[in-house]
Amino acid sequence: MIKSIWLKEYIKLKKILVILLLIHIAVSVYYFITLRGGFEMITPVQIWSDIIAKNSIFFYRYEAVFYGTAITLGVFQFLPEVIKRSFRISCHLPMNEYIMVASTISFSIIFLTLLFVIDTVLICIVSSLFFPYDIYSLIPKVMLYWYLEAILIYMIASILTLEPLWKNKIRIAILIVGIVTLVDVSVYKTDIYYVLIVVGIVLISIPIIYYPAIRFRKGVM
Amino acid sequence: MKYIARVTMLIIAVLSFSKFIPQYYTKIFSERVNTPLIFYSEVLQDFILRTVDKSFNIRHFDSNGDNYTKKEYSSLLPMLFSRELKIWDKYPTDIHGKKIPVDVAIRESQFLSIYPKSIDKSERMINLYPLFDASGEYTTIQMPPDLFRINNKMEFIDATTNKINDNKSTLHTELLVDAGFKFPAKIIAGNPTTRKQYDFGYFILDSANNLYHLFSIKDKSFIRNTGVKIDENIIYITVEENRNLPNYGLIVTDNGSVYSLLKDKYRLDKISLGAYDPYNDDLKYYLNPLIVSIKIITDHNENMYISDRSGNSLASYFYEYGDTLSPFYRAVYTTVFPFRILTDGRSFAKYQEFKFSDNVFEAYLFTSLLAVIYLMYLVTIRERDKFTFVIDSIFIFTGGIYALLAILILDGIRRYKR
Repeated sequence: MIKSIWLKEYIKLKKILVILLLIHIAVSVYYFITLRGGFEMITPVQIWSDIIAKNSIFFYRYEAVFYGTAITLGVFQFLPEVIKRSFRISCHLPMNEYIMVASTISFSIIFLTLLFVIDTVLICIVSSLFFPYDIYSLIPKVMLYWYLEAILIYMIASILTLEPLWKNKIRIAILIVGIVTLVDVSVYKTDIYYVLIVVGIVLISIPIIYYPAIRFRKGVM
Repeated sequence: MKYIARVTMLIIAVLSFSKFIPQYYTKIFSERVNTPLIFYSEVLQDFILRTVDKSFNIRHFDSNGDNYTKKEYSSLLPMLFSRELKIWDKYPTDIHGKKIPVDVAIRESQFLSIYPKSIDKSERMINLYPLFDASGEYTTIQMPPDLFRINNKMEFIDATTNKINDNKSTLHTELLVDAGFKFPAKIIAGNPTTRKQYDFGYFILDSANNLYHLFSIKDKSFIRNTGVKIDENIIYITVEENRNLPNYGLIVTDNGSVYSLLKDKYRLDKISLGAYDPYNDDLKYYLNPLIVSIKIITDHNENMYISDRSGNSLASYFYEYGDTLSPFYRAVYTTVFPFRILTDGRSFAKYQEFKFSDNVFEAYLFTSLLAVIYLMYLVTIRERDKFTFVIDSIFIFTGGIYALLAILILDGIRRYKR
């Protein structure tokens, strides 16, 4: 049944997923072209030294792309069912409604994970052509924070989209949107303790989806 | 699941509120406080302060409260304002019998600052360094085509090819091994920038806590065991390239001791100072031909220690910063907010820090009161199931005002609706 839910989500989001995937690939291509252009214009050692001295995240464009992807998924996954009010029908499928909701959000989380892996591998491969291991080995660590933050943003977007009442959307937004600033990545944070805190916050945020989902199922208007 | 979803949403809200509410409370109710600029006047042989009040009026005065004009203030700090005094033709011929020519005052002054972020290494996450030519053949420092790292060997990575230069790496690794260097390096201290007049190379602490000096002259590298041995753990070394100064820079240990690393046979000169926590306090070091001044700045105060160039203590000064919140607002702050999450923004940030109120007992008395009032409110006014009754009250007791606000925002103050 979970596979059927995933198939339903895939059919619903197929176009969006392809567009998002193409955007991520386009950003990778753009990143490669920009990097290559930079190395043609400026002495390589100067670029390395600048990155080291300023601790600059030279692949920063991925951050906005990740968050944009998370918001798009959160909105487009639930908005059609909220507008048509067909989410209630999904709740009456022959399976536990909690597992149904979990399967629905896991579809997008898996997609975000896939993008995280593809992006990280692509940036690492491209960066390894221009930078030494000491520099490009930091990429997965930074990308991990952005990926975790993207899951959090996806959850917030989903919760706010699924909530049936506008008044309650505002209330919930006041309660949960601020948490994003707590997981905002600083430059090359590598502390495992901090990773665990971020993972904890993301895990806590996931069950919140049941709050609007249950209200929706009950027919709150 | 309904309860779990509600509780997790409230937990997220409490975490979020504990960051934002105290932050905005402080922004709204805080007032400007005078944080003076303090120096030791070699002329007065007393401390002299410069403050800016709420109306942005600048006041210069000494520790006795005697006021000075801006020009008098400059005259009392001839080492610091030597250039200005020379232009005004007011530079003193001697200061308490000591003749210091103006060019010596300019040349032999040194300012160094050591911040906790320098020590916790968040300032520099990537340990690759350029080995500059220290020969001084050019008027500017030339950037080499490669950077080095010292892990289990010394390796040079050519930036043009992005490959390790094996010959150069082997040569330098052997050089280090011959000098008795024990890999890997714990600290590599230097100024990896071309924005300096000349280069002193790097001071490298090996895994056996021996300090080495590495520098390169006309493509030939030199490594010297400085012989520096300190019983405490060295946690930070700062280097300043200035040929006129007697030292290479400062060495900081985990116990808060600070040493000046002298150019004369790499001798160490322990600087006399009071309690210093290098992981939390800022340290400002100021050296001129007459005195050595150390300023230790904590969140609440600053301590200054002055000694002469022979290391004899001359004076010390303690200044406590005023509170940005008035006593009333501070009392409200420490009582109403049982804890808070501090963040430092994005770049070079310390990690998020969870801090309990300075008055935890009073704060939790207040939250208990909130919890009791809320419980009474639920019993008398609202209809709710008993489970939520208990959960919410416990939640308010632990989360305080943040939890109460979160519940009120989520449920509203009217009759509970499902």
